[in-house]
Amino acid sequence: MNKENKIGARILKRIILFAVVMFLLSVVVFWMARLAPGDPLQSFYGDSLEMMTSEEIAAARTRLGLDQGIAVQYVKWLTNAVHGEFGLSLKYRQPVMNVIKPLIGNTLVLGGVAYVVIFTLAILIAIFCTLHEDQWIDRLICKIGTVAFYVPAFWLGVVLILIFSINLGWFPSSGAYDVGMADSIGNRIRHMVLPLVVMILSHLWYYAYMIRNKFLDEVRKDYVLLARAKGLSKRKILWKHCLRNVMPTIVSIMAVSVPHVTGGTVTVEAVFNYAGIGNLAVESAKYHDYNLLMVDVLITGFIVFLSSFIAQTVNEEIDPRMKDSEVRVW
Amino acid sequence: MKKRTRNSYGKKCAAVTLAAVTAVCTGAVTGGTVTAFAAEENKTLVYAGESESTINPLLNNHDELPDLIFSGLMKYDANGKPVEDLAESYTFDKDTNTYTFKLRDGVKWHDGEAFNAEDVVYTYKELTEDETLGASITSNYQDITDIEAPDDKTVVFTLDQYDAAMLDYFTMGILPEHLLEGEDINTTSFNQNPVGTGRYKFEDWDATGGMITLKRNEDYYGKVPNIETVVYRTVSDETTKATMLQSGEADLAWLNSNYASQFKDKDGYNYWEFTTADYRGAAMDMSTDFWKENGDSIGVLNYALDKDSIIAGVLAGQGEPAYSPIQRNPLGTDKEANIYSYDLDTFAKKMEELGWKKGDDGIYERNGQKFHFTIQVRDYEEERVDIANVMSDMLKQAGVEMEVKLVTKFDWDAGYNGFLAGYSTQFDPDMAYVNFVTDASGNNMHYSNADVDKYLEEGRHGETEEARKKSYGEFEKAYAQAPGILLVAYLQGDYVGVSGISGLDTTRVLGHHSVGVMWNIEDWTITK
Amino acid sequence: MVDNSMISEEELFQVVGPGWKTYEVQKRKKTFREKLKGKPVFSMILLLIVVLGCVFANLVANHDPSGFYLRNLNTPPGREFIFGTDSLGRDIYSLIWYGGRVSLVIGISGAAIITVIGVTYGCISGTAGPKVDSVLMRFTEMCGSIPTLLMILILSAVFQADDVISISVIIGITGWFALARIVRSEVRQIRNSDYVMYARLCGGGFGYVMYYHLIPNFVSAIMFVVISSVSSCITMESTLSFLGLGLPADVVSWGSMLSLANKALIMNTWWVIVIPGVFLVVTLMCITNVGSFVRSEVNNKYSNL
Repeated sequence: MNKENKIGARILKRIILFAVVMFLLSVVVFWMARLAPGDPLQSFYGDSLEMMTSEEIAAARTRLGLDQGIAVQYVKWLTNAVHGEFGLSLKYRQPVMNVIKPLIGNTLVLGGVAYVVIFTLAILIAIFCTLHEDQWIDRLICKIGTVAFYVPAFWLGVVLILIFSINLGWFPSSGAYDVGMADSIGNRIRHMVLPLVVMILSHLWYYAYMIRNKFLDEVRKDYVLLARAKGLSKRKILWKHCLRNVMPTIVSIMAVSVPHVTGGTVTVEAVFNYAGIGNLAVESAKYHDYNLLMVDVLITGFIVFLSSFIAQTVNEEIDPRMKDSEVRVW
Repeated sequence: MKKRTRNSYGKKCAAVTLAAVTAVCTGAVTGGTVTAFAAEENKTLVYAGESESTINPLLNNHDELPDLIFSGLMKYDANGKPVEDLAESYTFDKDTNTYTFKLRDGVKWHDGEAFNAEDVVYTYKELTEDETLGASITSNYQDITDIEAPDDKTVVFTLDQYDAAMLDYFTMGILPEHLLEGEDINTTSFNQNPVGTGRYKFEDWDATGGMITLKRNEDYYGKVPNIETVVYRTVSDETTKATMLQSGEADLAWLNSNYASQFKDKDGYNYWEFTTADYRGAAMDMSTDFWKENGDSIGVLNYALDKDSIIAGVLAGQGEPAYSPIQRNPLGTDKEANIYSYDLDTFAKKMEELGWKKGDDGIYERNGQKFHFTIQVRDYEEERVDIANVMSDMLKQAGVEMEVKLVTKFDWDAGYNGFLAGYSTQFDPDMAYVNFVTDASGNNMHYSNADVDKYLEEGRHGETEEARKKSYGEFEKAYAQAPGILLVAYLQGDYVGVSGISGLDTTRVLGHHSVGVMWNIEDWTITK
Repeated sequence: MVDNSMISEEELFQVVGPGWKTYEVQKRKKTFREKLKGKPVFSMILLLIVVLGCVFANLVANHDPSGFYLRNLNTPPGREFIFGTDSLGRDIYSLIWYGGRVSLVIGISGAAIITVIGVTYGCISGTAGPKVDSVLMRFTEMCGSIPTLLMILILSAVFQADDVISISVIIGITGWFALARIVRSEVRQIRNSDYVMYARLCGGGFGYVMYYHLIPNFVSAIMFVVISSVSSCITMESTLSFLGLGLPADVVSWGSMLSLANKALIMNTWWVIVIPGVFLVVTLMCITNVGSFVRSEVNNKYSNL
């Protein structure tokens, strides 16, 4: 009873913190975006802005609410946002949500699948390397890992397109699916293969290496020696005992890695012309489309915070020691 | 024993990875079989175009899509001359300066509503009266003083003075009043769900897949197109367009000449060279301090530019040196305006005459000021960036510093001395009016030259072809003497498509960004 | 009995018996080979070559890096153009050295900014009271959870970063969060030691304590992070160039050379894609190898497995 209350209170506290963080984020982004040089009207009117008289420009500014102070604009934005209205994208001339909605799924799927694959493989590789510590295969994997980590993701993407789309023709070079193939899962998978490979190759080793080091620490503990003495096989010890002990740390690493992986989608979407919110963020930053950029960053922030929030909460519930852990997000 | 466990584990691990990989691959293979279309005729054309935010002739009249979905009172024929489209016939009364259009019978909007004169009145009222409309075209319609619809099938326009190019401007697509009345034309959702009277019906805008689908308009009043579906894929950069062609994800695309030349002798591809009236040059902002003082020294820079090498290097030989802004126009092309040729000795001589002296660093100076100016170039237009870089290198060797600044959007207030411009006058030469007449709406470089003003004004109101040709010839010569744009080259419009496409007609001179290729899309066929 | 403390080792353990000999430590000078043993020699040499090549780019390059050799477009690697030319006839070989200069400058100055901010912030947070410490740490955690690339996107839009310095600054101020956290936890371990307390008691200011007591104690712990941030700054710059938010057209870096790869794709000129990439990756690898050498080894115990 008492314990449940505590859990409830803790979760409530986190939710409040979560809301505060989102609020702060929106203030900072709003304020920064407004500081930026470059005229948002340019996105709206394009080159014809040049031909407008100053009265016309002033009228347009009033109409779009760009003539008020930052604070007023922000309060207005916030009140509308609470009601689910996030304003107009100046470049696309339609409500921001209409622009983002069709794209967000693409990014979530790409990021989500990449995330799951990265960590599944990372754990497998880490265990494999632990079993073969300091043998040639372990060293080789670590070497490949460092190389892969430093290859810029966009460049890797370009090279893969050169090999697999242009020369071999195995995979398409761009987009989320082919014409008329929106419902074909197979077609979507085909389009995701190259972007996924880039995502995985550029993140996998970093996390595999981190998890490997955790395992190496773990196998130096006394209980492992005891288990060996009892005659358990190495494999069994790693899978049954070590993995369970290392798991909370892995979950923490996973929580911290969400922004990293999310950031990775930006580059990948740009290389493969994959319609997603990462690509959209680059575009809106370039075109000073404030409202769009705001919501884009907020949504990304929301996803990131939410996932680390979940990871953290889950972790603390399964292992109370985690509260004092060094790897934490909040 | 020890070894065995380790090995078997390794194998298992490898097996898991392999399984994951094969799972992905089999997914890929099944996907592949689904993609394969049976060889069908005239089913779908996938066009890789630029990214779009709206489809509305009033907002983006320089794009392909509004031209397919909407139609205007007039349209351009193969030679770029305006002919009747939604109008059945028209008459022009010289004394009262009125155009009277008789509209076609039985034309229907894509949603089934009947098209009538009210729609025309609505569209032109928007063009002339809506102040929120920032469209760069409104200035073309400033001569219209009154629009009336005496009956359902007649529209009368009253002008305050004769305008030789007015018929061209009547090609503007007509919007449906019944859907747009009372809406803000800038932000209405109509812009993403357009309904027109044109050859293709808008079907679907799929932002997730980056494609806009059009179906042919079976009720079209003219020739119904052969190709059933046109899919316009929104692509943000030129490289992707080329890779899409290469990997078979697109059937047709406009490519810059460097990319296009890669497809020239390739099996399975067709290649069309269009003439364009699209030129590139460095347009100088005459209102900046540097050119206020040194505006007399723009023309002389032509001597220092090896335009043929630029064309050979950057444009893969696909272009022609430019000497006049209306060189590709039937009313232009006065050869006497071609007064500069690449010659560094003449350049040095002329510079000396103008009072420039080379400083210690090899850069010309006059009155204590270095010959140094900045040019802004949009970073995603690779061809322009390349042209600018090569120009800058050539000028530097001649002793002039042209600094290239990459921007995402042109920033007119940042004080750059100019920008790498691309303009085009493919239809009536009056298109040059807005760009070169003092204080005209499109004259954003603040060029001002009394002779140029005079000749362009004459050309606009000239009544015979002869007289107009003469005025424009004079304009070309006057402009060449004191240019505001350092002209470089006219581009060639290179379209590359899969070999199943036929019907593209290269007689038409294309405009800026080679727009207008689909002018005869109803005659195209495609086999895949 | 005899006072134990007075007896030295020799007295306690007298060696007796026939033929005993004192063991003399043979102090032989280590040979050069032995000194290098365990050090990443290969990486160091490679890195040295690259750095020297970039510093003396004007001597190494055999063409004008900003020149357009319009008669030699897309030349494959050969005698005149060692690494070939791109679609505008620029000499890749010369560009590599000049571009390396810019990349290295961005890498080093970015890492310097990261180090200064990260160390200062970490020290403040580590020595401050629990309330302040918690607020400061929450701040880094919050910033750390926004994808770095997005943060840089916003910042570069706001500040119009278009020269080497401002790009390094932007990369620097978005990259110090992890370092600050490491520094803070190191500081927390040593901040209560007697010598720090003594220094504070004697009136040593924060700067004094940080410089003389804190930094020397955790310098080895953060060295790896500092060195590898050089690499991450270089990578970040190349990604920015690719997204079109990087340096102006006339400043060539490895990043902007790599972003030409996209274009070379169509032209089928592999050397434009591969050669700058190999240079970048090899350099980054060497930096990391040198970096992990200075890191103190963690797992020197034997595995129980």
